[in-house]
Amino acid sequence: VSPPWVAAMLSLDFLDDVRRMNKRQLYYQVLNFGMIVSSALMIWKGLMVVTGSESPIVVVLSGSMEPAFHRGDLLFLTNRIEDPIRVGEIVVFRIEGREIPIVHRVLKIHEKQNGDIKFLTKGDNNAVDDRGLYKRGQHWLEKKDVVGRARGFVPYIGIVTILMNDYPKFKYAVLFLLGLFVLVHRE
Amino acid sequence: LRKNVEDFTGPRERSDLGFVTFDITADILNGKNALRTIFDWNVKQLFLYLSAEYSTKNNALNQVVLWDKIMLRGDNPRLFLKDMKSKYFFFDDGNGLKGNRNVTLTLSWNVVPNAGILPLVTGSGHVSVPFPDTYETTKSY
Repeated sequence: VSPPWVAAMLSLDFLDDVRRMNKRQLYYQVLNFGMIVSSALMIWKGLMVVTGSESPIVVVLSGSMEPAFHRGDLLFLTNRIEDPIRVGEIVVFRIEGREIPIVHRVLKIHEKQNGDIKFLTKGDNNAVDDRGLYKRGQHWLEKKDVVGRARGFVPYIGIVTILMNDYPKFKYAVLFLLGLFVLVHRE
Repeated sequence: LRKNVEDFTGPRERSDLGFVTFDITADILNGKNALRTIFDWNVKQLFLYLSAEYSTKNNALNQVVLWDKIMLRGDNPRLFLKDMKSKYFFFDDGNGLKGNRNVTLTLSWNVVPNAGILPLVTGSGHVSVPFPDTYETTKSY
């Protein structure tokens, strides 16, 4: 804390400079923030290209694949066309018209010569296959329903996403803190 | 890794339904180092499944899981199962099981780590099961 006479001097001579410098610094920090957001988006898009999946990382939402996966585990997916769908694989799929992705294992496949494939899935922890989950009249899943195949995973980390979904206030708090941190942080 | 099977088929409306009973004798080994157990520090469980693979007029490739089992870390990685019935109905998409001489049964497993990659491993040794040309009308299953 400077003595009062220094503050008085500062406020007289350097106020304009200081005000100008602060504005520039503020713009700089905003640009920094924008760059970080853009880089993050680019990395995400890059992942989408490399893995071939529209959602290369998903969070497990239910206990239907226990004890392998639990709610909150994070899955890494690929969806390359060159990789054929085979039984035993863990697929993440969406049922037409529904948003929530489901993570289950392939139980049966019937593939035609030209590559058209229809398959049935089942959660490891479920007693029956997924026919009950599909749309009415739908008996099989097709390639177009697949978001990706699970290739790797880390446990627990996705809990943050689930918390942010269930408690929106938590989401805003996290975003606010992140934004604040980036704006205030000096390189 | 060996399996022996016998089988019958029963017609169900439009699709063939196969019945298979099997024995499994298997030793699940660590792919990288046969002397160390498959259940190393990063293996949480193995998801084992017995699948039948075959070709039909309708479909170039069919794969059906007949049986599966979760083997947790700490379980014995050796299997001695006898006279097992399939866990899931072995329906074909059509009538491709009748007279099909080339239905191959393979044991595979999904290695689930504590964290990391999820590989699918196919066991060595598979058994070919020929299905008979006629249907069984009495279900002795």
